[in-house]
Amino acid sequence: METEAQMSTENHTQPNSLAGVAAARVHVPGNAPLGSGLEARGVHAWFGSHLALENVSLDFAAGTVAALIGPSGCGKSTFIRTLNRMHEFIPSAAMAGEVLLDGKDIYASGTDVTRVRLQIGMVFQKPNPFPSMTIGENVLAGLKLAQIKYDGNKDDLMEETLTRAGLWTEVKDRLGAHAGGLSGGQQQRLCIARSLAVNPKVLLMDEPCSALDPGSTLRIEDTISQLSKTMTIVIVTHNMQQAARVSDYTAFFLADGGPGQMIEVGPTSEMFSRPKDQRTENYVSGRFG
Amino acid sequence: MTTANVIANTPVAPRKPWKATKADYIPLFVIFVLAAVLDIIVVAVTPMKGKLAYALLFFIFASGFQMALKWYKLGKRAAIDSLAGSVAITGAIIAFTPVASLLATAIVKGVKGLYPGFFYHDMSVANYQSPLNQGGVIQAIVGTLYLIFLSTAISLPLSVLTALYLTEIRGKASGFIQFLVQAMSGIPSVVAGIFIYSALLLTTSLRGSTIMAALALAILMIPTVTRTAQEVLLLVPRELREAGLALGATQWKTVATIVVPAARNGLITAVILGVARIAGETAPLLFTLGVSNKINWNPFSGGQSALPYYVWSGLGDGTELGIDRAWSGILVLLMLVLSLFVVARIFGTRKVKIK
Repeated sequence: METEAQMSTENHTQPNSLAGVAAARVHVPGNAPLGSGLEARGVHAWFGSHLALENVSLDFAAGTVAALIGPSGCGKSTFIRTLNRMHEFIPSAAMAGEVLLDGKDIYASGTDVTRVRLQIGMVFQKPNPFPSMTIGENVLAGLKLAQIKYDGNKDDLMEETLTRAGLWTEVKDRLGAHAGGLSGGQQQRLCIARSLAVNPKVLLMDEPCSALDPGSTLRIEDTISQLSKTMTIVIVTHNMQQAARVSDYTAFFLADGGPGQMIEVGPTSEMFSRPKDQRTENYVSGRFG
Repeated sequence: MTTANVIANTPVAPRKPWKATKADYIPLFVIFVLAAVLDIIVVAVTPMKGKLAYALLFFIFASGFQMALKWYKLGKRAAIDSLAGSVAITGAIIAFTPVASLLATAIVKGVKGLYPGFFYHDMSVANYQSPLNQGGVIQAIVGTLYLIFLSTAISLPLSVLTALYLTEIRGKASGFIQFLVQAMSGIPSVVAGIFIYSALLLTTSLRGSTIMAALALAILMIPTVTRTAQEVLLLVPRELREAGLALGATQWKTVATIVVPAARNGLITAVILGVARIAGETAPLLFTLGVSNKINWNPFSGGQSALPYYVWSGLGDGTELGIDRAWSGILVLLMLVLSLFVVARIFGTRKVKIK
């Protein structure tokens, strides 16, 4: 397959920004910062007998932001959910292939799935703060849920993660209020802060800005740029300007009547200026999709 | 299977790495055997005796070993997770055992009195002391079906309308009606029977009949169905109502074409719970049903029979044959109610195809 040959040459290019990355200030035991990235090898995904995603191989180098673009139903979301083992919650789901985190297959038998998900965080399309918890409790929810003993000062951690998520100034006076009172954009940034508090190596974002206003979207994009210094980020987006703004790499997915496939992957600037595949060209220039 | 380089265009087999494999069951099997052996030894050498001691110790050993294994493999969090799982499974077993035992008893004892004629003969050709190959329960089956149908027909519209009043209209009387519904669900079934008896039978020239018993049963069914219907209607997202109203629909149209269909499966559950509440009720029937040992097709006059009443009479008869007949009646009642539920589920559940 042509596309695979392309990506294998390209995605081994390490970004320069990696050298001298400061260690994450928030340190959670057992969660070393950064790691060596995430690698999908020949990932297929099924729902029942329906093949939804065929043979996707993609490297997510540590400290990079990768954007997954493509029309609805092309398997981007399915793919991202195979990366932290959320795919298996759909009863009829099946998969094939490997997903390597720091060189280890997260689908290998004997893997501690909960630990995988602790290291590969996820932000969902719809903001989902826990309704029974306050803003502050939401931020620290991950520590409680994953039963992590946190040695440092929890107030500092709260401030730190909320600042990184771009929400601190807006909520610092009402950390004890319930999260339901926040606006959609604030709720989504709260969810990002919640994911950051457990300091994942990889953060998966499934259309995190699709329900947000431009202001909140810009804030979250800023946040993503900041975060990429300390973690690997994969973002699914329908907004091509967003992909162009935040990502180092872009992968184009398409389901042309059959299962979803990755058509092309490359550095974002090239994908948008001179894509190799005609279908990518059509999509990024807005001719369809 | 997990080759690093999957060659393009080679069919790849779907797998489910999250499912337990045969190899995963081996340690579980070993743990169960080990727990059973230890169980027998401990019961033999300590003063703890009896079935309860066996069960309790087996649970402790099996879940303990399982925890230890998880702790060794994946750490403390996984061990606690495994303990919670063991407790949940044990709880399910404890809850299910009496039900299974009851079913098994009904089948074992009930089969004795069954013969084909049991399902199409009535009791006009036999009495409770007759040999078991005489007489049957067709009149009671017809009676019970009549009762279930009539009391559902009376209580379902009332209950759903009440639930709609409480969830959709939210009128001024909501609080009071809510209180009444709560209070009604605590009525002992015999009181419902006495109520109909004293209000309708004692004071008028009416006599016990199917419809009278159905009224008494409807009193019992209404609070159950109302409460459940209310809960499932509350589960319908507010956004759906808003979407309907935003299309210019009236409240009635929104409720009838969007809210109620969306809650359809839940409403069927409400009816099933209501029928389960009344199908086996005996006490209200004693005052309201009258007596019949033949099929009575007319629900509005003349006595009627019913399976719970048949069981009650058989047990009251006290003879060995009478009690055998009662067990057969119980079995038929169980089969009847179960098949009604299956039918309700098959015809009531909308099939949603997921690609």
